[in-house]
Amino acid sequence: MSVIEVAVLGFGQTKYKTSRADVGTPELVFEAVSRALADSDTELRDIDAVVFASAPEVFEGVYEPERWCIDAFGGVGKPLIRVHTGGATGGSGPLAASRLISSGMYENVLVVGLQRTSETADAQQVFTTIFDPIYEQDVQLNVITGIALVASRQMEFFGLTEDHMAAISVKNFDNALRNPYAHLHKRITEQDVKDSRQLAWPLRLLHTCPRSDGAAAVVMSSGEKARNRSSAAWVRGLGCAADVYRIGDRIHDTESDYAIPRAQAWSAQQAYTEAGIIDPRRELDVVEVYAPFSNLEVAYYEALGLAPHGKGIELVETGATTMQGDIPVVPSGGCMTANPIGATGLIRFGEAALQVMGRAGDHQVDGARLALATACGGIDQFYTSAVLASEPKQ
Amino acid sequence: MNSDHRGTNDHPGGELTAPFWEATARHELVRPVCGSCGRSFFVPQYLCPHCGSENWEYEPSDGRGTVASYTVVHRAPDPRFETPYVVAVVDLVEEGWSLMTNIVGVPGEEVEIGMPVEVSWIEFEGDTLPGFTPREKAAV
Ligand SMILES: [Zn+2]
Repeated sequence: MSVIEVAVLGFGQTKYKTSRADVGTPELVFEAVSRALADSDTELRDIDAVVFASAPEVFEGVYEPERWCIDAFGGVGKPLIRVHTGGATGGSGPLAASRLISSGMYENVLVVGLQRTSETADAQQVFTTIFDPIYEQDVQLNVITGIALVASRQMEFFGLTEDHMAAISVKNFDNALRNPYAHLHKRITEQDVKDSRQLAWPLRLLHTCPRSDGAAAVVMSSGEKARNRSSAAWVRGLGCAADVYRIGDRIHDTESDYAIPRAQAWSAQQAYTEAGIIDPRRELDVVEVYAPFSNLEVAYYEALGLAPHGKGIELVETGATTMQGDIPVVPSGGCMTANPIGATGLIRFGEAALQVMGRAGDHQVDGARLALATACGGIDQFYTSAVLASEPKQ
Repeated sequence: MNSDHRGTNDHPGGELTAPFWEATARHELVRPVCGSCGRSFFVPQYLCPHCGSENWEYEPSDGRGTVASYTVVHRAPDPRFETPYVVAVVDLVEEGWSLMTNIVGVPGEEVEIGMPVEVSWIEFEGDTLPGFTPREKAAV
C-alpha cells in the first residue's frame, strides 16, 4: 500500500490589527477562508472536513466561536474538529489535518485559525490563570515574567546580551515592513529597543509581541490532488511534544536547562526524522519560528538544531538569520510583529508554505525549497513543528 | 474574569495541599519527601514524580536555597500588587526541590542567579506565603 502524501494547496490570511472592529468575528474568518480557497483554486464544496483552531475563548468574548463562525467556513454538513493547545493551536490544526488526510479519511481539509484578542480587557491578566492556582499564582506570574525567567538564565549561562535581543527585534520589525499583513509596520533601531519600557527584566516592550486580531486558513489535500497543481507545499515531516506544567521542574534538566526549550527540540526532531533531515542548518532554506519574544528566538536556534548548545547568539552575531543570511528566520516579521495567538501557528505554517511555493511576495527567500514552521503554547509547554517542501517525497 | 488570585485565602484543603498551607500559617516550610526513593518534590501530588510511589510524607524544610532564575517585574498582572517586585525560582539545593516564589527585602537590581536566600514569610490579605530573602553573608 502506498503512503498518502499531504500537501498545502493555498493559504489565506487577514490584515492583523490591535482591533479588527471593522468586521465581526465570522466576517474575519470569512476574510481568511475566502482568500485561502481562492489561493488554492478550491471550491468550498470540495472541502471534505474542517479543522477549527482557536485558543483561549476568554480572548474571543464568546464561547465556542466555531458555532458563530460555522457559515463563514462552510462547516454545515461537514465533519468539524476543534483543536486547542494554547499558542500552539495554530500548529496543531494543520498537524491534525495532515493526519486526517494521510490516514485516507478525508481528501481535502480546510484548517481555520482565529483569535480576537481585542475582546479581552487584559490578556496578561488572563495569562496569570494558566499557572498552578494553588502554589504559583500568588507569586504574580504571567507569560512575560515566565519568559523573563528564561532570558535571565540565557544571559547568565549562554552569553545573551541586550545587544543580541535588540538585534533580533530590529531584524523582525524590518522583515515585517515587507509583509503587508503584519500588524506592526515601523522601522526601529537597536537604541529604540533598549529605550523601550521595562516590563520584566530583562524584557522590554520591544522584545515582546503585540496583541492582534486576525484569522488565517489553509487548504490541505492529498498528494494525488496536489500533483496536478502548478505549486504546492509538501508536508515532509511533523512533530508535536508537550512538557511538564511547572517551570521549576524544567530548570534542572541537563538537556535543556530551561533556557533551551526541550519540548521544541523534541517536536523538531520528530519532524526532522520524518523528513529525513540530518543537518537542519544546512538543509533548511527558511524558518518561520513561533517566537513571541526576542530572547526566545535565540533559544529556539539551539532547540531547532540551527546552532549548537549554547551557541545561539552566534547566529545573531553573524547575521545568518537575516534576509541576507544563509538561513532567514521569520521573513514575514513573525509573531513579534503580529500575534493573534491561536492563529499565529497557522500563520507560521502558511508563511512557510508560501516560501516553498515561491509565492511569499516581497519577503520571499530566493529559491526556498525546504522550510520549517513551529508553534509554541501554554507558555513553553506545547510545541509543534512542520517541515514543508517544494517537491513531494516520491 | 476573576483576577483575584492573590490573598483570597482560597487554597483548597484536603490531605494533599492543606498541610502545606497549615504549615506556612505557622511560618514553617514543608516539602513532600518520598519514603521509597528518598527524594523531595514539589508541588505535592499523589505519586512521587521520581519513582511513582504513593509512600511520601511532608517533612520540614530548612528553607535555605539559591536563586535559580529571576525577573524584576515592572508591570503587575494584578494592579493591587506594587511594582517592582521579584519573581524567582528558588532551589532548595540540599533538599533537592525548587519552587516558584518572590524575593523580598532586597532591591531587584541586587538579586543574582546563584544568590543564597532563605525563607521569609509574606503576609498578604490573610494568607501567609513563602517568599525568600538574601541570607546574611556571615551566615553562608
Ligand atoms: Zn520516590
